[in-house]
Amino acid sequence: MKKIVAIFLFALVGVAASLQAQTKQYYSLGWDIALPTGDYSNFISDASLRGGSFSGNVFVTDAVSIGFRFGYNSFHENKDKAVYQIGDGQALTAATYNYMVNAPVVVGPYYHFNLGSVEPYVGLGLGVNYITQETLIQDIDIYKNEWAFIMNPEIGLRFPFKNVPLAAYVKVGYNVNFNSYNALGNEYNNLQTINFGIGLSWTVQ
Amino acid sequence: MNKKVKIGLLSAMFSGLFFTACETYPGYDDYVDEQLISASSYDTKYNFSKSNNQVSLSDTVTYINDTGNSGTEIVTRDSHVNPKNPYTTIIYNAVKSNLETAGFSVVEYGQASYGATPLAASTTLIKSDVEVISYYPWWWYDWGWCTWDWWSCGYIPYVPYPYPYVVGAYDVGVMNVDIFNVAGTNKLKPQAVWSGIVRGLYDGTHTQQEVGDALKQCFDQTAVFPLK
Repeated sequence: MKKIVAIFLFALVGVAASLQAQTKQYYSLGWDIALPTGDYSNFISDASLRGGSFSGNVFVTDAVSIGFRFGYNSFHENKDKAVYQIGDGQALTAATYNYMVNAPVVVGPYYHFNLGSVEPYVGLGLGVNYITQETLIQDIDIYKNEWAFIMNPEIGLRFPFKNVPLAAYVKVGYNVNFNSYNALGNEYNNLQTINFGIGLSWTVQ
Repeated sequence: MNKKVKIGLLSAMFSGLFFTACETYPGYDDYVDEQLISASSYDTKYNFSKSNNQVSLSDTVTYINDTGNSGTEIVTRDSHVNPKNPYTTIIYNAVKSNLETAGFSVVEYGQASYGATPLAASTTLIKSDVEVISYYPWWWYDWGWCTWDWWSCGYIPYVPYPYPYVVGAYDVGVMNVDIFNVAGTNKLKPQAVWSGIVRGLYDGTHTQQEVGDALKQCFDQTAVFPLK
């Protein structure tokens, strides 16, 4: 898996570098809120307000760009006491602190619509996500760190400022990971999150 | 406010968000550390109906305490007399009550069938600042417990089945209630068919009611209890 990640990052840098010298590009920095859905909403149901992303888009035509994104979100939730069937004939009653960090790196095509004062876009990112999952009970720590493949369709709106190469943006994306985590007898599969983001981007010609 | 100021403020905001996002265990509730947890385990292959729902309950609550330089000390009983320590009495009564609620007919010390029932139950308290305690039901008949250490029990040349309990004790304190199958087996090697553990006794402040509830929960969460 580490080799795949290394190759992926190498290819990402290579593509960005080769395109960078040619055409318009913009980079974005923003605040990301993420909400777990699916199995993982049972692990942590609270939204993550602790997150951000740095992304870049390099245009290959007037409307099509290749984009990349580095993201980060940390999730946490204190769970009230509950009974967990942790094995055959084994049960545990405890309150837990569940914690999770996502650090995705994705790359993919984006399509941009130029409507003047607003620039909608759609994109699909594919890549890898480094996921930390942790369950604390008293001084007991159950955890799993893993690299997972991630698919990230995204739509957004950019609002260019006048007279400066800056724009504000809002976006919403859906992250689907191919992973699993097993803790206290519960199995969580395929982490899915809805991500909302706002931020600033600056254009480089 | 001009654009430079706006951009500066936004940059500062994003920087702040970035750094706060990196905090380890944000919003961690100390209760997670200080709570009592209840764990239970039963042997799914054991047929509890074989016991005729009878269990002999040890009149002793074994107390294992780390006494520093002297190693692990086992505070046992006064040779099968009724418990005199008020806490021992409270614990004994709580265990007895829960066993009865779980459907057992409890045979106490002094009764004719004491020690002759298919099942026998015993309670152990561990208070220690060591990380792990191993202990072994060495002479169940004598209701003595022995830490699996050469200095307290003498050298044990082999580890017979069942293997010693290993309980991560730290400084949190553990109450352990075990029910052993002692029918037709070598009494030096009893098989635990049920264990209940309350963990966290000495971490934080807990009322007697809370400890009692945690012990009760060990029985309540066991699928085969109450016995039919």
